[in-house]
Amino acid sequence: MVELDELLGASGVLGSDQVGDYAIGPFVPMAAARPADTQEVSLVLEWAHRNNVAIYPVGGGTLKHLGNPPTRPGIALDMSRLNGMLDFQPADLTVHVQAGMTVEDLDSALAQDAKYVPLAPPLPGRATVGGTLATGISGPLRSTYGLPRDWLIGMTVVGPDGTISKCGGQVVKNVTGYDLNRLYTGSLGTLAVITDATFKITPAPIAWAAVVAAFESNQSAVSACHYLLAQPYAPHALHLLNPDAVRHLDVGQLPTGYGPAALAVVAGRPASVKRRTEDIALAWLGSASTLRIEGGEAIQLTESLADFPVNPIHPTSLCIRINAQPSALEQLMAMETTEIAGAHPAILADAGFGGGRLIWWNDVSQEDPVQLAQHLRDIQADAVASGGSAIVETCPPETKALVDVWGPDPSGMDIMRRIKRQFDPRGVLNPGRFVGGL
Amino acid sequence: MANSDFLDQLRAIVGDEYVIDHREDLLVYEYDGSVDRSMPRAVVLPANTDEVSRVMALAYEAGITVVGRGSGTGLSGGAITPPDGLQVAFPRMNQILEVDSVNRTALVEPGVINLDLDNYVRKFGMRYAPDPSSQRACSLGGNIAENAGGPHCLAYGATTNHVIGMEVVLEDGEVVYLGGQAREATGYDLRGAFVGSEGTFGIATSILVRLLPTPESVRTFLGIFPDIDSACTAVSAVIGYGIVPAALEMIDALSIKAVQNVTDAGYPNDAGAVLLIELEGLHEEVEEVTRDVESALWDTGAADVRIAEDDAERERLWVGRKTAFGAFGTIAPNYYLVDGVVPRTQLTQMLRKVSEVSERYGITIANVFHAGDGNLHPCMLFDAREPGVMESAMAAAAELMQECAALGGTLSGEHGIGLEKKEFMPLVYEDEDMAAMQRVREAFAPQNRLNPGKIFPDGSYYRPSPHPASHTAALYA
Amino acid sequence: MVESVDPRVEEVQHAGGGIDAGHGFPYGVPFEGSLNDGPGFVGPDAPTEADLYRCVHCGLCLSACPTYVETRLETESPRGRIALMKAVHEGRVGISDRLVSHWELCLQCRACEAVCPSGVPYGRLMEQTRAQVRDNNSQSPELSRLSQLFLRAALPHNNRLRLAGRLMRLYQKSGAQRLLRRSGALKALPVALGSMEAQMPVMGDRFFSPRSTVSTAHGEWRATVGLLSGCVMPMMHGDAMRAAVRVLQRNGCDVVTPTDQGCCGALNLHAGDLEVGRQMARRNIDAFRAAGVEFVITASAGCGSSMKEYGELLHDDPDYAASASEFADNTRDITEFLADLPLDPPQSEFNRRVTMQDPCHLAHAQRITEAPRKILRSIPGLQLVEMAESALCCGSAGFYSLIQRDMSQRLQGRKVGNALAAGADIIASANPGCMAQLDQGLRNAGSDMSVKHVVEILDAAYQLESP
Repeated sequence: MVELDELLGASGVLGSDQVGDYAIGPFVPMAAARPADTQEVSLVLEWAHRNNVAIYPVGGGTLKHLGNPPTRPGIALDMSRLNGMLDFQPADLTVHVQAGMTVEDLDSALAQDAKYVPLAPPLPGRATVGGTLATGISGPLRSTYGLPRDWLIGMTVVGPDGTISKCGGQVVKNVTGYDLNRLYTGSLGTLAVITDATFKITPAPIAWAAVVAAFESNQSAVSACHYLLAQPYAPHALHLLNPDAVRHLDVGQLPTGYGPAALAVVAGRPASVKRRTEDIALAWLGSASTLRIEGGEAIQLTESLADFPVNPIHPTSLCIRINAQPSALEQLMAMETTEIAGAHPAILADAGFGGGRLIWWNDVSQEDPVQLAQHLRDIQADAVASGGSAIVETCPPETKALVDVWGPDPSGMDIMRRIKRQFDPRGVLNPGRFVGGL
Repeated sequence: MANSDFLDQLRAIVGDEYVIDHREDLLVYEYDGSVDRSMPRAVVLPANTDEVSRVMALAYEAGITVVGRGSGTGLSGGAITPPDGLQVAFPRMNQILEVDSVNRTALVEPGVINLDLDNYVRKFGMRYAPDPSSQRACSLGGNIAENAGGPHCLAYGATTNHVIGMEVVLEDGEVVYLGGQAREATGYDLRGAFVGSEGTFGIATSILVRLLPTPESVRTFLGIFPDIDSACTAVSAVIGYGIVPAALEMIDALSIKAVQNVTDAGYPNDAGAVLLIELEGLHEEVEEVTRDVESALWDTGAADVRIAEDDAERERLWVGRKTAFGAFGTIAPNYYLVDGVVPRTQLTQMLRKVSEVSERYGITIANVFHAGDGNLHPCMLFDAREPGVMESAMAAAAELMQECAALGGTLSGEHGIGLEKKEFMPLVYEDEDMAAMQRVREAFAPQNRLNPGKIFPDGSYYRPSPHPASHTAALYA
Repeated sequence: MVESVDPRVEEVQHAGGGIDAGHGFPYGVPFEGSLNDGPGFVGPDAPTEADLYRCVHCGLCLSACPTYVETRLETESPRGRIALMKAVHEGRVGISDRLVSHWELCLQCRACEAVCPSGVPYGRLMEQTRAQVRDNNSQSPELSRLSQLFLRAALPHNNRLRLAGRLMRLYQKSGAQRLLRRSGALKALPVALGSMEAQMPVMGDRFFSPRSTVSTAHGEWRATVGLLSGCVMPMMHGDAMRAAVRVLQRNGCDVVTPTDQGCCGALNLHAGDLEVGRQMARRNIDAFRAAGVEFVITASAGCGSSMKEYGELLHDDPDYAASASEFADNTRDITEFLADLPLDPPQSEFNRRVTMQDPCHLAHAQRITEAPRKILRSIPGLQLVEMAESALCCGSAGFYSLIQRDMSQRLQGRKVGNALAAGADIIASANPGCMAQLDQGLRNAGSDMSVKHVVEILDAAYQLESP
């Protein structure tokens, strides 16, 4: 560690007594490096590579639990000091920021000029741009606004041996060379450490609104969702929540005591928002109860949807993310009967995008870890069988030790292994944490 | 293995009539839409994934390189096959296998024509958004390889934003599915890496694409400007109004002339430049934004602003735009097109450079391009029979690419690097950047048997040299 | 490793050194020599460099080409055919049976020309190429035989044509055809002849004949026009010709049908027989000039397309260059002429569903698609329904159906399928070849839909007017 101190200065390194915040479940890193710029990130990685020390990159730490347990001793690489705005060109609709900037800071800088980039990770006050990209997490508007990778146009990364490289560029359209932006996005820091990123941005929506409707049954809710999505006035986001999820959502006046609730969010210019909300409300006239929410409250509702799985007010003990096609919505909602540790899950399904999250707030560590692990594997196998996947985002450490949270090896696993070998032959970056033990 | 044995084994896989190896026939498989040409060893036309896989395994065993070919409309030499290589083409794999209106997806074979897919799914109230100008000829397989764009990718993104998953055959014949059925898949985004890899990672044999609902309302504007500068200012003004139209295209005076030579697209002959702007969405949305678009155009000096009155007029405006490159044939027998991108605010600067370069080299350059996303297409028009003019055109192109890079832009927005621009890669990427790219290629194709010699600088081309008898061979452009 | 196909490539690779084995072919290494010892293009009628290199091989023609759409082979595409012409021009290959087979599969429908953004004169290139092929005696035996039989022996000669037509009518109407077909005796014929028998155009009950008298205008006089009688049309579609005269009269035209006119020469020109084609053009120019008409009208799209190109055809002929160009300028397709007049709409109701099939030589060669529709829409009660791919060739294409039977039938089937799917009572067309091809296709499909020339439909509507 002495050498690391020399590289970053004493303030850039936290010793073993100060690393509690960087723990990944029961795993505690030996130290934490807090580089100030790309060059220092490169120095740390070069040092780690030379000394065969593993590196566990961390942004805001909101999703540091995501992934399998670390397999090698190593140090945390805290990216939060790289939090500067490098360039913001409103007229070009591009913004270039360091990876450690929080998404909230990015959002407010863009809002100064009525611009917007729909990253929308949970807890944007802590979540960083780099962490959002590395984890591949996305927000409630994903079905129409796309995923963060769709807005990413360039980045600088540091490879495991300290080599700095860039991909993409500063322009909104680019097919020059391979698209490594997409490869690094969602790779959980196992190929390289992101130090800055450039996004294309869009004019911020002027108006926001939401329409909520409660339905009698999953079946009627699902068919109402499919109907709405095929209309020209389809909302920008459409989520379906089971009653348990409705109760936990931090918005007071949502209808409870019925069946599932569908939640449609629209954003854009006033005339369009008005037309969409009116038509959506009209389409749902037959449902049990509808509620229209305007402006700031609609934004707040959307943020609550994003924060839902990791909201510190309701600490989650088991969270499973399901990737599935929209047509599997009814099967997803039917999973509310899945009982773990005597409780049923809250379900938050993204009707437009497909898939969603199952969340247990009760203490599932009461459950036998072996049995729970088997249960989780079954859920994962079912998801794969129907053309999707299930990722265990949160679970007790005893269970995590027994299950691959990413599920069975996905198709193309051999190529993924070869990619990992090409980029990080010594297994320096986030070893063991990603798919198939990468 | 003797070549004849190799061909016999190919025939055993796909059937006699689906191996083209007569050199007189191969004359038509040595080009695509670009300047290079090279005759493949043979062309094979497989009928299904299994045949593709067996063909690839056979070629792999024999040490023969393989190049996939869609419709051969590419503009960067992506489908040009090295002289010893085997070309795999997909005329027989052209079925739309499935359209799913709940999940809004279509499963297609690689030989399906882009426009055929779009026309087909429109029956179900959906559309396939990426619309390269060659869409009535180009195939989905080729679109995937090049990550094709088009005017409407301003609003909807390029091909990569519309591919959910695909079955691909790797260099050794292994069949792998990349991506998923759901919009997100677990693990590295192999699908994202594959799209735009210009045929060097594998060959896609079936593709699951995303469809969008057709918009309720479409409105097309023709903004008529006295000169390029004011049209560029208008582009910024539109964006400044907080509008990202579905498409925002610029056509300069020379291109207007070329287009109007062939067909009456409705562009005024005396305009310095026109902007073609399209809005899509709900009626109210389009109505609301129309006022802003009109203000933006009038405020920046438009001589006139017209709105297409019906589908026929709208169609006519687009036909002009989409056939512009071909129409350059009416001005000069050869063109060489640069696909550079600059930040939108640098458009004026870049176009001044274009006109300066045009003057200095004495080469006519026309501009018709995707102004909304800063994707230029300066097009050098020349007659290669004039001695030295080809070299001048190349030198002018090099200067333009340098300028794009200097202004913070890049070499290619949608056509790909291929053979044509590979030597310019160092303008935008350092060795380390390209090394990272090569690592991914190593993972997909360790033996580099697929479309080798493309993308990365290596000094080799397949450009025909002037023919001794007629001095016309170099005319291919 | 498989041996290299081309020994020079091997050399280059070794010399290249730094380039990976397998794909070295450095800049500037030319492809030398000819692939065969066939003849090149020669003479003043060879395809010109200016025309050939107008093609920038962008590929936008591909999806418009019927043979490419059917085969999806580059060799059977307009771009491919031009590439082969370029290769011959550059001396990289000589004219060979293989090249000729690709060129001859072309229908010369010119759909590619209509969509070509560079304005490549494909029709001209193909005619010139076929002329080169013909001059080198490299035509396929089928085309060569037909050329001898029809193009030179029959078409230029009105009397011989009529005699043949009468014999065919006799054969068809007398019951001999039915008898022979039923007996199976036709199966004993050589394939080519048998195919010709099957493809034999059905002769009309009454032939149409040019006459020395003028058919005078009804109502207010608006123009004096000459009507091309043509070769097979007056025999196969005499009714359409008479309808053409009546609708012209009805719209205020004096109609002249000069007796010394003849076939327009289109088929000869398409087959590359430029010499006889030019003779036929000169004859018609003389005939109509002598008649003193303002416009030369044709009810056959194929003829109109060729006549509009007489100027180009004879531009090197010092005696005819000027008059040919004038003739071309004054030529109008009958639908174009009537729509521009504009026509006097029928007063009666004609309650039928009609679908328009765009003849290639109207839609692509003359770029006329709106005029026939304008006429049809002017008829009260008529419902115009569009079929899919209305401008994709029906496979008739002159003698094509006799020589390229397989492709012709594929396209015929495709066209008939599209027409039936449109759910119309009548297919409207404007070209005799298409009408015969469609008629036969409908009969094969067991459909009772009928095929009529646009002017026949207009005429029928006029006939319903109360006097």
